[in-house]
Amino acid sequence: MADIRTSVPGSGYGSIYIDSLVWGGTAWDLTKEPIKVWLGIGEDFAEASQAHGGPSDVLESADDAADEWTQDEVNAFGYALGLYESVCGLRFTVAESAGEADIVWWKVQLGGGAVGRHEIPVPGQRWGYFDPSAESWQYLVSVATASTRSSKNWGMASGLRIHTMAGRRTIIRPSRASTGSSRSEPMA
Amino acid sequence: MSYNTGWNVTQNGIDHGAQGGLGAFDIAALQALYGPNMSTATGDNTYVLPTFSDYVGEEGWFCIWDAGGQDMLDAGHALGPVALDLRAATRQSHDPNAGGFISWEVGVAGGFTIANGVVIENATGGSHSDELYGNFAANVLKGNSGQDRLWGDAGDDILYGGTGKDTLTGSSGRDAFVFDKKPSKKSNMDRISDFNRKDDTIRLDNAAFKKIGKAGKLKSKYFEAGSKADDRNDYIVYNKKKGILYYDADGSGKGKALEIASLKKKLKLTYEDFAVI
Repeated sequence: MADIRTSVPGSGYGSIYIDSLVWGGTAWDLTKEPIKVWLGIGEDFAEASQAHGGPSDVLESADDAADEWTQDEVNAFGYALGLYESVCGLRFTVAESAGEADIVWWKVQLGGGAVGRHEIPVPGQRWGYFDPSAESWQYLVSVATASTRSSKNWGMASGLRIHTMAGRRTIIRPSRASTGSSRSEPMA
Repeated sequence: MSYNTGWNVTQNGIDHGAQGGLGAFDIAALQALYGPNMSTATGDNTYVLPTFSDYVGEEGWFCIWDAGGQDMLDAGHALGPVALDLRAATRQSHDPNAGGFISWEVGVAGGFTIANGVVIENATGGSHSDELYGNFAANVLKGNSGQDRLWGDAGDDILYGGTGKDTLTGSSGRDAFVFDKKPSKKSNMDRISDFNRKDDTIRLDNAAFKKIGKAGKLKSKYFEAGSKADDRNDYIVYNKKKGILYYDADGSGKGKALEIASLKKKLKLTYEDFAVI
């Protein structure tokens, strides 16, 4: 599995805007190998759950996960991963199986208006969740929406925080107070 | 990372006008953690501005990460006025342009910003009244038609107003102002706002100014600084009192001199301030 760096500063990047995006604490260490990713479906749950250290509060059983990913969805994910690789040293590859993946993504009902959640990088398999019932999911095949929807989640997977906007005021969600290996953030 | 649907001064919805790529802060933060990818877009790339035109078709906001080459923002197909801004996101705290300078066609919910550390060298406007801003590098800015406003910013820039009554500002650096269209006081007379004799040059295309000879330096006998041409080969005349530069195809003959551009008054222009291209 890809290694994890610890003791990553959460500030001191020369700009308050950059500082506000970096979670700090952990980040991927890609000096040895790229991040292995997998699009999980119901039948992968048992194997992935073992690598993950058990189910999660979002995904408790195979029945909660969708059974397929469409080709359009796969393409949209590929596009957004390519965006990340194109700007920085992050590298991704498709895992051989759900069990050997560093990150497994699931289509799962989240509720509460959330469109996605993601666990931040820590040792062990990380899970990210996308809600296909969210209105914006139908636009995933458009370039812009594919990027907006999917790359936000991967931003969190990469160690970035998410901001939201109300009018012209940027609201920075309280985040550093959240620590621990299962930290995730609703993408409302 | 942001959940904004799009830039809040343009129309946007869940299906259009959204961010089509990573933003300038996203890129900077990712690079802070993982280093920049210096193998991306190292060739000479042209970034075509999203427009209403079916020719381009795609809308959304994109921040450009480009690691090298001679690159261009192109709005040649725009159906309305555009702003093309080659300045990169500053990242600086409390700077309104920390996240970038917007390049867009007015009314279109999509366009570009440029990530910190990226240099896009050139910009080409469309057929409307455009605004083009250079950066610290040596830029080639082309307004094309319309009443354009061009700012070279720092660097040794080359500014082409094209047709229309354009305003050209070189700013610092050794800038060149190019005139390659037939002059017309009514429809194609530009203004050079900051000509600096020490550094800048006016380039005249002999396809539009047929009398001025071969490419190279302008011959001294073809230039006159005064109220009008003194002899038959004073083809380029600078009227100090008015600050107007003329082309007079028959010199002191009866033909009317055509206004090329207005400059500051009382400049000490000589033939050495011109080049023939």
